[in-house]
Amino acid sequence: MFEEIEISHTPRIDLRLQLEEAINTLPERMRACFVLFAVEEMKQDEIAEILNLSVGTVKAQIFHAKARLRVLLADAPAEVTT
Amino acid sequence: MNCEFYQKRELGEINESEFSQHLATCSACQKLVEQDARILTLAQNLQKPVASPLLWAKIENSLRAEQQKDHRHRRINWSEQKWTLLRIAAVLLIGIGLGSYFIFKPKPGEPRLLAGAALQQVEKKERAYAEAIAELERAALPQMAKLDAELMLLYRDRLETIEAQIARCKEALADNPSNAHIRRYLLAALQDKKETLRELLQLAG
Repeated sequence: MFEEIEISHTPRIDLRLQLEEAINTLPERMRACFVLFAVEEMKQDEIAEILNLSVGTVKAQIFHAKARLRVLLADAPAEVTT
Repeated sequence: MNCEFYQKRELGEINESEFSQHLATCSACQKLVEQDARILTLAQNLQKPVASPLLWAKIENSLRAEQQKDHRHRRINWSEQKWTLLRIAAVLLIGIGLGSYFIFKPKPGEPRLLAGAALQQVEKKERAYAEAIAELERAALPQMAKLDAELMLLYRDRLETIEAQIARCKEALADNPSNAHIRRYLLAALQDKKETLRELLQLAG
């Protein structure tokens, strides 16, 4: 189900760009949930209220977003690291 | 790399303590959690939200839709309340109208208001009647003491009720002396008083 991501050291700015690109490839609703959760640091119930979704749906969207991002970032030349 | 526990935790199907116990022994979950933390840390460090005009448009639309829904809900509520109040007012008006009609309905052939000469005549007869009853009262009331206590209280209460009725009629007539219906109620009250006093005299005598 999930691709394993190799850890290596790459410039941070590249990683950000890669992540942004990866996030932009997510489906609209999934991207909205993930961005509000991970970037805006909102709580799941707040996201559910804003997007008129159930909390369960928000959780599922974030879960699938993270799974996809793992795959997308694993395919990228640089890997996820801090 | 897959673990059911990780998915359950992400979807809120198991609690954190349950997952923590599992995490201590599952290398797959440890890896996933570590990767999640890195993705989230990286995302939190993004300078600005990822370019997504559709996302913000959608958020704005959602907020607008919510506001409109609230507004519509409030408007519907007020509208419903308004109709309920109107219905209650209509029922009350109809009820009061019908009640007044049946209470104050003149008998066939009887004028609703007494004309000047007729009024004077009625008042004169009423005064005579009231005087006659007052005389009867003067004779009957001392006799009341001869009755047993329970009966005496009963008659006293009854007379007080009739007196109150007479007083109310007189008060109404002071505002509207030509109202034949109130005159009739007054007459009925006076007759009731006369009958009560007569009964009292018979019982005591």
